[in-house]
Amino acid sequence: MDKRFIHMVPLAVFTALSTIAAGGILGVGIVLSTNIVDFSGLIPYLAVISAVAFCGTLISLLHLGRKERFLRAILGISHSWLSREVWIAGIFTAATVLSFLFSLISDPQLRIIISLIVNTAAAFGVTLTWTIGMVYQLSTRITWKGMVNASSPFLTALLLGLSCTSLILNASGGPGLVFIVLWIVDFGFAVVRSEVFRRLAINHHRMVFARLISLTRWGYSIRIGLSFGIIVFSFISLKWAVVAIIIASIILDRCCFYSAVTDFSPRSEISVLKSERMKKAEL
Amino acid sequence: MQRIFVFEVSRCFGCNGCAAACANINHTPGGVLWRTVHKLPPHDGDHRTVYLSVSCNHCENPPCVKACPSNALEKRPSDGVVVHYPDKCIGCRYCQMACPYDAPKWEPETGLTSKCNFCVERLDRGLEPACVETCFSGALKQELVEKWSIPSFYKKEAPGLIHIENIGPNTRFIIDETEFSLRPGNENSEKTPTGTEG
Repeated sequence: MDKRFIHMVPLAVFTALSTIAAGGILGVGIVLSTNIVDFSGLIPYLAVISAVAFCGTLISLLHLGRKERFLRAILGISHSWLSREVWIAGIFTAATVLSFLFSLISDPQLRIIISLIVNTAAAFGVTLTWTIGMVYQLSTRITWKGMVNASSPFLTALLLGLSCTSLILNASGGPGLVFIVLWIVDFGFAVVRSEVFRRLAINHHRMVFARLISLTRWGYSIRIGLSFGIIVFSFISLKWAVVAIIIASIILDRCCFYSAVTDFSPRSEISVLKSERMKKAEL
Repeated sequence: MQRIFVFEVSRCFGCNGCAAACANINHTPGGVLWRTVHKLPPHDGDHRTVYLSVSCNHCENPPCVKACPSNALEKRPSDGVVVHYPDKCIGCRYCQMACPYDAPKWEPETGLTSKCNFCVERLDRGLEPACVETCFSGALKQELVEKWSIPSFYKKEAPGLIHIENIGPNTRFIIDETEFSLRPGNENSEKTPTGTEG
């Protein structure tokens, strides 16, 4: 793999923004289902969410070497998780933008249709967060593969969705049981991933972005600290703070995810063997 | 049938002719090498210098083919060679992430990935791949084999190349592990290496 992190930045931005948008539209979808909030109050949320989703999808194109051929990415749906992700991201973004555009038409008869589109977008958004995790189930990328890594975007999107619901509804009281359980799992997985990275990064030859090891280590530590902030602010009902911290946590998590990728190529294997021989010689 | 590279470790002295021939025949842009030669130097007299010439392993279950969203990579049914089609590639680099052996290379000038294609144009004309033809020490060869008929003395692993079962790289190595202490902590490490043949 290329040792320059810059080509991972569009992917980190896309996956972070998609997760944030998925969580946001999930929150709006849950609120719409309760019929409690006045519909016009949801339009600003839909505007922000559709902008975030659209920008994320657009930025992902920057990753391609041949941007004019981007439509070819949908051809491999039968075998490629990346192709499936492209399909789902496309439908999710379209549904999210459509829901916002429809919401601008002040016709009460459209409410049912808008609700349907929002729930479709929410379903595809949550599915997108799952496919984001599955795309990186690659055999020797140890810090990427496994359910602990695959489920991170999914869990944080659910946490954000529930937090957005609570914020929009201005619900009183602390976090519900579902939120607490999700938080425990997400926090536990964040600790596991941090520990796996810490043990692997001892041998810097194993890391693609060896220069970013210290930064990634700090990133994981801050991510775990932010997790504490999520549950603390949930219990003292500071809903805006919870949403903001989850969003920051998602962005940080994705950056750490990409910078922590491992390398078992012949080049890194030979480097590891050289360094082991040198250590043996010193002994 | 499957085309395999066979690399005899003791015969290679690291001239990099294979890498140069590959770059020359395939007109790869500057700095892009489909075949690379790695060196594991000796130390304290217990180990010999080992050179490892690697390119794409044209695996049994190539992760790059499975990963590619635009069907730009294909495993040929006739001989198992994994071929990359530049006109179908979108430059997403997912094959680079999927490949554990660093075979797909990124070409910044074209915005595409590229990799060893076993010189299929030469094979189809009855010629050897450029790297094999150039190797005058006979370290690098290629064979078209039935998978069940691969000789047992061909090793699947070498220093620097791990055999991953569910991927099944199709490069084989001729290594005498009693002659070389190739891994630290090996129980044969006290044995002194013998001279090189031919």
